[in-house]
Amino acid sequence: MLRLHMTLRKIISFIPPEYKEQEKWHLKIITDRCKGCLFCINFCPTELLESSPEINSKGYHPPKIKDDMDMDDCAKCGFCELICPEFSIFLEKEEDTTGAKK
Amino acid sequence: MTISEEKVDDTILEAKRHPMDYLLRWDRLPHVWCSGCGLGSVLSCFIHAIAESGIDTKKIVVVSGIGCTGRASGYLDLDVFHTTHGRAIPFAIGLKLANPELKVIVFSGDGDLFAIGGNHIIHAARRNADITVICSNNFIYGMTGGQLAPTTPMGAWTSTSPYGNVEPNFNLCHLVASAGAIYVARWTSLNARRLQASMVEAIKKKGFSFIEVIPPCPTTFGRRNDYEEGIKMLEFFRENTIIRHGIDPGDAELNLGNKIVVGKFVDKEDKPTLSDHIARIQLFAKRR
Ligand SMILES: Cc1ncc(C[n+]2csc(CCOP(=O)(O)OP(=O)(O)O)c2C)c(N)n1
Ligand code: SF4
Ligand code: SF4
Ligand code: SF4
Ligand SMILES: [Mg+2]
Repeated sequence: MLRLHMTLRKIISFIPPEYKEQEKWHLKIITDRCKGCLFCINFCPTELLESSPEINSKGYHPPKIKDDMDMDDCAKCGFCELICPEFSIFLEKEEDTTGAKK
Repeated sequence: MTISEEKVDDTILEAKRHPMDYLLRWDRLPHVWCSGCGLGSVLSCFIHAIAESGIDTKKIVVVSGIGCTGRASGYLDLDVFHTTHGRAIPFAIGLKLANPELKVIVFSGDGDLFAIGGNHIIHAARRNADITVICSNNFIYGMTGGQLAPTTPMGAWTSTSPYGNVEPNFNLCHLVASAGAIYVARWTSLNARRLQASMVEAIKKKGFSFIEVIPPCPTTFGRRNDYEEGIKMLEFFRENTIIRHGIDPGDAELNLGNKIVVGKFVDKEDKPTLSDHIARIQLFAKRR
């Protein structure tokens, strides 16, 4: 049920491209810099992030986007970037607005 | 085109470079600071502030003393000076007097600036030396194993106060304001946006500007005082910080268990600086 809801949500958020925001933003990360301090996760105003089960080369769990959320839920405030003590996570606007694919 | 071909934007993409890397010696990352230490957040606010200020980076010099905070200068791709313990301010004033074109910023710890270097800072404020001082007050000598500092709050447990601190602490903002600082502000590292804006203001100020920033130090302060995780101390800041612009910094004591009063306490204009006085004397000497 949850899974269905999730996919539905993603489909809805992706079908009509003409209604979507033209600006395209990405969250990016340099995974091996992360020290798993949870600052980005705890203080994201939209609670978009959670600890990933994956482990980076230093043995820490980097953040990931929650399964039932996507970039449409991100407020693009850049707070995670500012508070990250490791210069690991950041928000970036995609320059080429023609394609959503990367 | 089918839906499945559209890439759903639900992952954080892997990157090789950070957009702020141009101000960092990124080849030295990861830095030495502990997981959960707030110093990296303060450094992040600092480089964002440098970028926002629009000041030519060739004209900026960052000076630091010794300590965990003092390591910050080594990660900046600017002209930096990692000086001896307590002596960041004399180096900074020397740089400013020798080359008045420079923006000289001191970035150092509470122990470095207010214990061993305590005399330098009060006299720099008295002289209205044209420098900016950013002091990270983690209430402790972090680097050397968590000894009591003049900033350690009454009652706090440290490696050299195993029954709790019995000494009252300095109120740094009150101290520098009384000594003559023209800009005085205090923030926690969680007030990142305000801290960044305040740094821009302070850097652009003419005269002695001072920012006290409180970052969590989970390793040597936190774990002896119930904040064993950086995030736990930030949560405390979120619940217990109050902003009071313009209040007398004497009323903004930092005590254990009390609310943390932050804000811009002092912002004065047009007070002649040490550089102004020196320039006047130089003119006078040349005429003779
Ligand atoms: C002349 C001298 N005395 C003592 C030391 C040892 N020492 C190194 S760092 C430090 C304290 C630093 O405290 P602070 O400035 O608060 O920095 P933090 O590590 O807390 O960021 C001391 C006492 C030294 N390096 N040089
Ligand atoms: S940009 Fe803001 S809303 Fe988006 S993940 Fe970062 S902190 Fe959260
Ligand atoms: S704030 Fe930075 S270091 Fe901390 S968990 Fe997030 S990405 Fe990792
Ligand atoms: S000892 Fe404290 S101040 Fe030093 S790096 Fe660790 S957490 Fe930060
Ligand atoms: Mg300290």
